[in-house]
Amino acid sequence: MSSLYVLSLRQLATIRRLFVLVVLGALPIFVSALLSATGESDASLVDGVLLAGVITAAILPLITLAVGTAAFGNELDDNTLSNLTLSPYPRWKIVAPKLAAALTVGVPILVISTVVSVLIALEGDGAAAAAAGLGVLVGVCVYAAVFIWAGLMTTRALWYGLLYVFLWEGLFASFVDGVKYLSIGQYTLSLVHTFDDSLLADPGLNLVEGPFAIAGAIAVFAVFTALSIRRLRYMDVP
Amino acid sequence: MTDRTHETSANASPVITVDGVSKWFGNVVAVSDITFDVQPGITGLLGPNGAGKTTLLRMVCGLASPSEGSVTVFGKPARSDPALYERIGVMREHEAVYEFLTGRQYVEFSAKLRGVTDVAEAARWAIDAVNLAPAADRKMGTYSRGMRQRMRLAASIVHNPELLILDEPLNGADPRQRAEFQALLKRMADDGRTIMVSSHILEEVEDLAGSVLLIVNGKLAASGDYRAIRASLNERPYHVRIVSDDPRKLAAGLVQLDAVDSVSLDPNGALVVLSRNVGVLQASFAGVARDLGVRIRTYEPLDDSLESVFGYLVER
Repeated sequence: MSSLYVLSLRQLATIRRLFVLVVLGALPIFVSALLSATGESDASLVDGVLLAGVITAAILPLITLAVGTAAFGNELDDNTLSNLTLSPYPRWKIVAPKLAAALTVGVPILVISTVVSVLIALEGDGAAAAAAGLGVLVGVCVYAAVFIWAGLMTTRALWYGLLYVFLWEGLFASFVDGVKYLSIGQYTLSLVHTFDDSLLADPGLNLVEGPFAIAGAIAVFAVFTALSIRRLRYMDVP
Repeated sequence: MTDRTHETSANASPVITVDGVSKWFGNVVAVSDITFDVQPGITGLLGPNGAGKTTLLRMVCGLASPSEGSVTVFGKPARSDPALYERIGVMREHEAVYEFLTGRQYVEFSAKLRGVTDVAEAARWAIDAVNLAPAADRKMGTYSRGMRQRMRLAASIVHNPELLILDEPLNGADPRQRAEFQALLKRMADDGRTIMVSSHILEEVEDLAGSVLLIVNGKLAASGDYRAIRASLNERPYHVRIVSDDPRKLAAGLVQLDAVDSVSLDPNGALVVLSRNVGVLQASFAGVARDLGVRIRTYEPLDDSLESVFGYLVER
């Protein structure tokens, strides 16, 4: 599995992709620095603009979308997926290194970006930064499982993923009450609040309950990882 | 690498069994009700571009499921058991490789994926077998098309498979590489392996495979010994256009030949000869012209395209 992990990492960590991801990852730090410089970094702005807005609604799903869909998308685009499926490896041993490689690229960028931006906005509040980083870490894992599956389902996963991020996660999860129970972004926010209840404490945010968010995140991760393994077993490989 | 040969027995069960297999994509039928067995040795899968060869091979090696029918390899359904790939080597038609890897890294990666224990030694053997040792440590992005093909073959054989499935492996190979490739495949078949190789070029298969499967428009048009199929091709109606300095005199001579069914004159003054025994016609017409003192300027088969040849076999 390690050789497939290394190969996948080399496919994902191209200089151009890393440059785009790092620029995206720097955006919350820029917003945070702006809030801090203008003296606007009170709790409600940090919660609403930085955590719920820039990080959870945009940067987290977008960066994970880029690496998650590319994990198998690169193989499908290059017609190299059969190199992997024509091996005696159990299919989970192909999905696991792909997932690990996607997380290896996505996690450092997103977690560092989140921790640094919260530290700047909350003037060195380490506990809050750690809670936000931990919540985002869970969010990356869950989104990655979904987007890796999407990358196996269609060569247009990036576009469908963008629709999903902006319509489902951005629009419906915010304005349609029941949808929040099926939203990875909402799970992430709830987990951040669970890890540090001083963050996202405004009842108006109407977060899902912490235990539900934990169970939901585990369930989505497990189901979509299993779907990827199943897809790899039964799909017609081009 | 210790022993890279495979034992075979004369009455062994087929290595590949394809039973009533069809495959369609929406309304397009790519493969239609094909049945055959493949035994050890080299079997050629022959057919024009778009005939369904690649789709059929994808089903044989488990990359696609049949819409109807079944495929078994070594007695097991091809798609159900990844462990089968320890015994199967596949070289796809796609020329895709990981361009950032060197040839050696690519072959070693393939060996690791297939559970080879002594990866370095297996890779060295496979790279030597395709005569690419001097270029093995160059990145594959710098390879010519022929070199990529050979390194992909090395990756396909690195785990010493009993069954080798090769889809258009001679694409991009120059004549010398082609000869080396064919010699290697023959050696591997002599070692007891089963090799299924597809091509759209008759002569490639003629040099390589004793047994052929001829597929046209998704259907199995003929199967069996190559020479028997080739002989039946020689009996097909065959039009030849002959330009000479005295077509009427040549026509009078040619109609005397048993091999000639009819002779007509086209608007440009050339003879169009219909023959059902092209071998005899080709051997005789020059002698007829010489005896009559007629000079031949052009001898041009009018329907010798692959599609025409394959189409004839389907119509029979």
